[in-house]
This record gives sequence, structure tokens and C-alpha cells, in this order.
Amino acid sequence: MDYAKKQVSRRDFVKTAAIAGAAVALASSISTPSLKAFATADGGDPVAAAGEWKPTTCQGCTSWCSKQVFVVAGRAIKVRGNPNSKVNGAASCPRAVMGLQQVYDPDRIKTPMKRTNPNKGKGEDPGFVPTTWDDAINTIAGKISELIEDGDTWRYMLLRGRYSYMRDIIYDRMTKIIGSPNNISHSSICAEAEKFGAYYTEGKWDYRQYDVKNTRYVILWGADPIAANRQVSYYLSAWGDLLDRAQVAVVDPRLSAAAAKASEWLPVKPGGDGALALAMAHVILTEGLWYKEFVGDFDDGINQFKVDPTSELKKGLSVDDTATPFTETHTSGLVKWWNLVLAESSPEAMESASGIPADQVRRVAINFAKAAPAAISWLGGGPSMQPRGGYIAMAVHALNGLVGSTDSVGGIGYGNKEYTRSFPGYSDYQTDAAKAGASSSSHPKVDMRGTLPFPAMAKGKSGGGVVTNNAAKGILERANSDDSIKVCMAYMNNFGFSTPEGKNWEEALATIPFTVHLTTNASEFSWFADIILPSTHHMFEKWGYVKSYANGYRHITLLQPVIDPVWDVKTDETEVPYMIAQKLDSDYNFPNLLEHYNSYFVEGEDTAPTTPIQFALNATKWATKNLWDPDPAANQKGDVFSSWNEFKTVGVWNSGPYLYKARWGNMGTATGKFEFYSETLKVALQKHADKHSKTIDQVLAATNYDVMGEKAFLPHYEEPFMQGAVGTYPLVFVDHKSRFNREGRSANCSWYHEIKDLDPGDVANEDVAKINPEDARKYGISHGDKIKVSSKTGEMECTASVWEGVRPGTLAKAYGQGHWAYGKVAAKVFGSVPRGGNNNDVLPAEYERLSGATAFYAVTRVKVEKI
Amino acid sequence: MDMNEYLSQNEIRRDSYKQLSECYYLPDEALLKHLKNPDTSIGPIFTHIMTNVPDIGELDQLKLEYTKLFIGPFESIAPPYESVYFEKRRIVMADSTMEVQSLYRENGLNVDIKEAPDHIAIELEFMYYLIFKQIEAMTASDTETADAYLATQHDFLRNHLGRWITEFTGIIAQNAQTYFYKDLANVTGSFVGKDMEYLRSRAIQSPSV
Repeated sequence: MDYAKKQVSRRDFVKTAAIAGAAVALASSISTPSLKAFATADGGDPVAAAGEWKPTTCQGCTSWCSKQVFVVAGRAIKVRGNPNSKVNGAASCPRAVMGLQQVYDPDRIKTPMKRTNPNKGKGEDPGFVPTTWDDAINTIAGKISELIEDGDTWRYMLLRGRYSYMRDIIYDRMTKIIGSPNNISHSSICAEAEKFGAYYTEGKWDYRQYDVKNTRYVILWGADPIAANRQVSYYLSAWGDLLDRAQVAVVDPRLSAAAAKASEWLPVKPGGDGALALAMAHVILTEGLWYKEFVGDFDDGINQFKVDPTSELKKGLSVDDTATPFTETHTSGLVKWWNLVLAESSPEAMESASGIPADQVRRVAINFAKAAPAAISWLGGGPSMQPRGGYIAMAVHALNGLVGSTDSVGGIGYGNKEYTRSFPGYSDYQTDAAKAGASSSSHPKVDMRGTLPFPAMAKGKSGGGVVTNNAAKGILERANSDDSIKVCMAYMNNFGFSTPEGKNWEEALATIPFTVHLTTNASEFSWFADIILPSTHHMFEKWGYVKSYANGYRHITLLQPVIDPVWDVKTDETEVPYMIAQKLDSDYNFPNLLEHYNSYFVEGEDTAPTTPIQFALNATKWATKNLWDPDPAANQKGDVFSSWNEFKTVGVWNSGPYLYKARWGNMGTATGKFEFYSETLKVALQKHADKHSKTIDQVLAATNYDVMGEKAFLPHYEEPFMQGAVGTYPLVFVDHKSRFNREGRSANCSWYHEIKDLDPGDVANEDVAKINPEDARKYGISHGDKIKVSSKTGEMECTASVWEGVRPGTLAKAYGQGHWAYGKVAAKVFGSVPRGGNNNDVLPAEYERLSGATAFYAVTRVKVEKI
Repeated sequence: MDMNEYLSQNEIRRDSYKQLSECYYLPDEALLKHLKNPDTSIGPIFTHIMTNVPDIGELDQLKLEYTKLFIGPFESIAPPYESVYFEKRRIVMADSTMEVQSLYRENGLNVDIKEAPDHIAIELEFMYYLIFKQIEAMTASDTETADAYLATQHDFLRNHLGRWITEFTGIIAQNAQTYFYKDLANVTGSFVGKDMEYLRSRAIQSPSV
């Protein structure tokens, strides 16, 4: 080509080249290109086309499924279930796939950032600007060091949202070695009241697994296992066969995904679940259908649980168990339960409380009990996470005792034995000052657990659980005192958005002088932070492990970095605390934390770490050693691996099969039996009462329960404790979870909005509140109207969906939208106008106080207005 | 136009791309100093941005603006990634991003910073590199290689940078609060647009390009 012949005039060209290089003008005089973003590559090969399935874990919900990600040239392309898992197998749910939009979200935090606006408040733009990791970590270490220097380490607080089992590195060890009692988890905005039911009947503070392959009857209580927690992937794969074999009855004010496919839908009144469960128990007893192998029988074999023929409401007659003794086998307190509670709880007597016709109750109860013990009473969050949900959880769960399905084939089970290890102990690394600072008796925890109105009796211990949402109140109460929180680190959480009456958090966070938020996306919580740190995405970029169970097995599944991260992200639970520990050691004369972390390595396999990523890997290997160590003594039952590398490649360890009936006669309760009359609860309540020099009745009055005397130890019914006068707020608000919710983190994914209509009653690209046509007519609402939903404590705006699948008198809406800061898709106008409504804006900060659980259900009435 | 003029024309193109690329990183003192006191001769119309180069004292404000435009953290006003404008889904690391990455590799480059390969600064620097290599070949009288680099530039603009630059710079120009970023956006948009015209005109004139 003859360049000189090209007819582009210099004048024209110069116009196009509107600017020329100044900063890099040097480039014209050198012989090699001046590259900033690039490195010259050796081979210069195009991107390899071949991909590989790599194992990891999805934590979109708490199913914690083992997954495989198809990775091409360091980039995730697609996701499927890990066929090596005996829990979920190859099954997958939509959430896992949505992870792809999360990890490649252009709104992720890309670099550490620091606040430039010192004023904190919802109307104060934090003015974040990028900073380096070193600067950010140095600032954080400096603030922690100040607390250590000043001798008030208890003013450090760690807030934990979602977690992997690497959690104790940052949540527990770091907090304790710094010297603070204030590590606050999110557990009680999850499902603590659900665990309450199982614990105070059969001594298991835990979730359950369900033998759906062998069951013949399932009652779902506010649970929607083919859409939301737990083991969604597994149940999605198993549900079709289940429906062929068994009957399913769904108790839910809303026609859930499961209800849409069920044999029976019982659209219970919110808060009436307990009444319904008791009515079913009444029927099971009067029909003589309790499972005698588990429960036992009247000594003479004649059923004395009889209906009073004179009772219009078909209530029962008391049983004199001295005259007609009942010998219980593996249960305790049946006759007392009948005499004090169940006798009067006939379906007819409970009909107005439950809202379910007596004949349907009777039919479901009889068919359920006839399937015993292959009959499941499946408790979800709905009935339990209510202000009076503790006893409802017990009532619902007690049905499993009546039909002997606990630990039975076709019934319910718990977690199989596993062999992961706790991280090394911390006390040797605590200074005396840290030991004193971390003492919660000297420095009560900021969430006020264990105080008179907040017993939070996890595992029977007053203050044994957390009252997550109440920490906001605690922070506010302490503000400006010598106990105020000065330094807060928080990870994978968005308290304020994810907690009812979130404005409490907005106020509380504005009082904390220094807050660090470790998160993938800047959220409403980040708005109040001083430093935000870009976290790895758990499914694609993080080392860790989680455990979960279903299908008769427990798996331990690894979270692994399977892609090349786009941005400079670090892992919240491992790398970041290690970096802080390094900085405290090198610049602030505090080697303790680093020395502790450096003890995490498997001898003969690894050496003490020197880098954060090496620490993350070491710690993962340390905790899971007994799973992959070929020494058979270490791993007694379950999968056996020849090495860490083999475990890592497979990605998941499976336990041995569940041993049914192993717990019969050996429950973890005060009596060792399945307690209908809960001696275990009696002991716990008495301890809490003694601690505060009160009676049990006074404790119950302080925790919003009306019950007194012996009934307090029995599953019983109390009217729901709801806020908002019926006259002003006529509809009961029904919160529920979307099948697309990756907890509260889906809203910036476009798929979430585009396919939202796959939640029954929902509409694509809208955030709808579902209202029964009867109510819609009453309040002048049409389908598609923009509406304002108000409660006593707040309001939100959304769209009306007029739908028959919601009980008249209630208004149902999925949680998950209403972000004013979570990304371009999630928020309508960033910083001010949310997209859709946040249910937590109408929910009051109320609790099931015995467990510490936040109440999301049957807790408020609302009104609806067209706007 | 003789060879020397043609060379110098391409040197201006090359340095313009490099300069623009530098402007799409977080601003620092060095950048402002260079913009204020260019230490070499520059194109005669390089005055547009120059007139509004902020003082060092305004650096913090400029950083804040840069952050809001390109980083976020809550949502960036003008995400600096091709895929966001080009793909149906609003994501990074899309198929188009991988095409860009492949092109880099084919030309002997690997992205060496923690960013998506289709970040504006990287795509601009890629153009700089291609022109650098073109000039190198021209200087060595290797016409074939020079032509190939010219063709790659044209393809890259047509298939990638040229397809999103207008929308991207339009959003910046519309939302930027400082003259600096408004001007930068306008200059980038018109420069890349006209450079694409320039490359097209050369391609039309010579089937070998």
C-alpha cells in the first residue's frame, strides 16, 4: 500500500484527533509500547474454548446445595447440581443459576472504598471513593488498636449475616481475641422459633430433614419446600414422586407453590396455626389414631380421649389417669396435654381461631394419623416466627410425636453425624484485658439477650440465643455512654433492609463512629459505613464449607474459588481478618490474632500461612481434615477420600445413611422422652425467672404471652399478638419468600424481575401485594393499581395483584424488593426511591421473645390505599 | 500526504488513544499535572480538555465524580464496560467480553489489572497498542503487517469499542457535574466516532485494509 496516496487531509484528521497524548506523549519516542492495563503474553493463544465443571456450593438460600459450575477460561458459564452429593444430587433450583448474574453484576463493589462525608444519615450521601486494600486494612487495624490501647475493647462489635462454617474465624475468634462479647449473628431473623418447637418437645435445637421418599402424608405448615427453604433443589426433584405416593395438605393463608399442587389447602388465619394443630391433635386422640408403638396406650387398651356428647362444640372429656392409666412409651405428658389443652380444642371449638372448617380439619387429621408413622408435620417459619409462635411451633411439632414420625422411616430426622473440626481454641491468645472485655457478664451483649423481656432461650439457656434485630435498640440505648459501640465490622448482612422496622438500624448505625461493611454489593447498610470492602462471591470466589442434610444424608460441601474474579475481592471470613491480624502485628504491636491464625494448618500437609489466601485454604483444610484424611480412624462413617485433592475435586463429602429410631427413648429432653408436657421448657423458664427474681408467670407476661400456670409448659393456643387496630388496619399482613430470593440479594438480577410471575399470584417486573377479590372490591382496588400499604410502624408502595389465592382478610407479599440502594436494577432512583416495597417497612420490630426470633408473621395489620 | 505526514498522523492517533485511556482511571495528581503541563508537543486541537483541567485542589471532587460515574459503589452512572451496553443482560464478562479478551490474546496481550477486559480504559489502550504496532511495522517498511494492524483496529472499532462509545459517552456528558468529565466524554465520543470513519475511509480506498 502506498500510504502517501491516501487522501485524508491533515486538517480533517486533526479534527478527528481532538486530543493527543500528554501524559503518555513519551510513548512516541520509545520503542516498546507503554502498557498499563496489559502484559504482553507469551503464546498469544486465543481464549481456550474447552470448559470444565468445577464443584462449589450455592448459598442463595440455606439449602446449601452442592453445585458444579461450568468454567471456561476462568469465567462461569452455567451451574448444575453436583451429582456427587447424596443430599441434592444433580438437582438444582433457579436461585443457583441466578448466582451468575450476581457474580457478574456490574454494580458489585470493585475496590475497597472509604467514606468522604463524615455525616451519617439516610439523607447523607456517604461520598465513597476508592482506596487501596492496604490503606483500608491499616485504618481498620488502627481503630481496633485504639480500642485495645484505651482498654475498652468491648466497644467492638461484629455483625454477621449469612455465613459459611469459616465464620468463627471472624465472628468468634477475632472478636474474643480483640476482647469483646459483641458478636451478633443474624440467626434470629432466620428461624430460631422453628427450632424452639423441636427443642422443647424433643430436645433438638435444629432443623429437620424429611423422608419424602417413604412418607404417605405431609402437612406443610407455612413451609413451601419446592420454592423456599430448605433443600429446595432436592425437594423439587423428589416432589413429583411424592405426590404420586402421598397426600399433601398445606396450611398457609396464601396459595403457595406447594399448595398449588397439594391435595388439601387449608388457608389458615394468620396466627391460627396453633389452634389448627391442637384441633388435629384432638381428632387424632379422640379417633384413637395416635401411634401406639411410640406413644404407648391406655393400660386397658380402651380409648378414654372422648368427646363430650353434651358439648355443642364437641369438646372432650377429661381423663382420670389414676382410674384409667395411660403408660407412655417414648413420650411424656400426653394425658396432661389432653386434660389441660386438647380436650377443649375440638375442630369445632377452634374453627373461629383457625378459620378452617371442622370437617376439613377432621379429614386431614385422620388421614395424616392413618399414615403414621410415615406422616410428616412439617413446620416452616410462618407459624413459628410470630410473637406467640413458640407454642405454635411446639403444637405443630408435637403432631410428629403423636404419630411417632420423629426418627421414623417416612417421617422426620435430623442431621447425620459428621466429622468437621472446630478451629483451634482462642483463650491462649487472649490478653487478660481481652478476657475481661469479652466477658458478657461484665459487659452485657448489645442485643439484650437474656434480659427479662428477651429470654432467647436457645438450647434451654437464658440468653443462649441472639435477638438480632434488638441490637439496633441496644446500640441506640448505649449511644453517648461509655459503653457505646465505637467500631463495628459487619459481613454478608443488610440489617435495616432485612430486619423489620429497619429505621431503627438507620438511626443506630448513624451513631457508630466507625463501621466497616464487607459485602459483594453496596447496600442500605453500606450507606452508613466508613469503609466498604469488596467480598468474594461465596459460590464462585471463596474458600469455605457448609453442612446440610436431606434425603437421609448429610453432606459437607466445599465453597471454592472456581473462577478468575473480575475485581480485587477478598473473602470476608478468612482473608480480611487475616489481613487485619497481619497489620495489627506489624504496625500496632498486637501479634496475638496473627499468632492464633497462624496455628491453623494441618501438620505434615501444610505450613503456617504467610498470605491471606494461603490462610483461607489452610483453614478450610484444617476444619475438614477428618473428611479427607485417608486415616480411617478420623472418618468413621461416610465417604472416604485418599487426599485433600481428591476431596477438593469431588467437592462434597456424604455422611453415612440416617439411623432411624436411634433417638427413641433417648431424646435430649429433661425426661429423655418426646415431651408433650415440656419439663425441658419448665426448667429453662424457671432458670430465666430465677435469674431475674421473678416467677415464670411474670416472665411470660413480660414476653407477650397470656398463659399462666401449667399450660405454659404445654403446646397451647393464644390469640395472635398483632399490632394495628382492626378498624384502621383491617388486613393481616402475610410476608412470604419468593422462589427466586437469594435471601435479600436477588433484586439487582434482571432475571428475578423478568420471571417473577413464576411465584404464584405474582406479576413479572412488578412487586405485588396479593389481595383477595372480595377485599379488593371492598377497598376499591383493581388489579395493577399502584397501592400504598401502611401499618402502625411504616408504609411501602407496590402494585396490587387481585388474586383468589390469598385468604380474605389478608394481604400477602413476597419479601425481597424495595431496595433504595442495591444497584441499578434493584433501586428505582438510587438513594431515594425504592423499586417496589420492602415488607420490613410495614413490619414492626417485634419478637417471639422466648426464642429471640424476630416476628415476620401474624404480627401486624395493614391498610391498603390506591395511589 | 507523504510518508512522514502519514506517520505523524498515526502517532497522533496512537497518543490520543493512550491519553484517553489514562483519563478513564481514577484521577490522580500525575494525570492532572500532565494535562496542565504537557511535556511534549501535542496535536493543535488538544485544547478542549486542556481548558478545563481541574486544579490539584479539586482532585478530591474529581475523584468523587469519577467514582459516581464509573465505580459506584451503589450503582455507577455510566458503567465503563462494553457488555453493559451491548448485551441483552446487564452483566460483565459476557460473550462479547470474551471476544474482546480473545482479540487481546491473539495480539499477544493479557489483561494485567483487576478489571473486566472490556473496560473503557483497556479497550482504548488496546487501540493504542494496535496503532503502536502499526507504526512500528510502517517504520520497518513492513506494509503487510502494518495493514493487518490497521484492519484489526477497524474491526475492533466496528465490532466493539465503536458500538458502545456513543451511548456511554452520552450518558457521561449528560450526567457529569464537572466540565472535565463532560469534555472528556464529548471528546472521546467524537474522537472514536471520527476515527472509525477514518478507518472506514481507508478500508474503502484500499481493499488490503
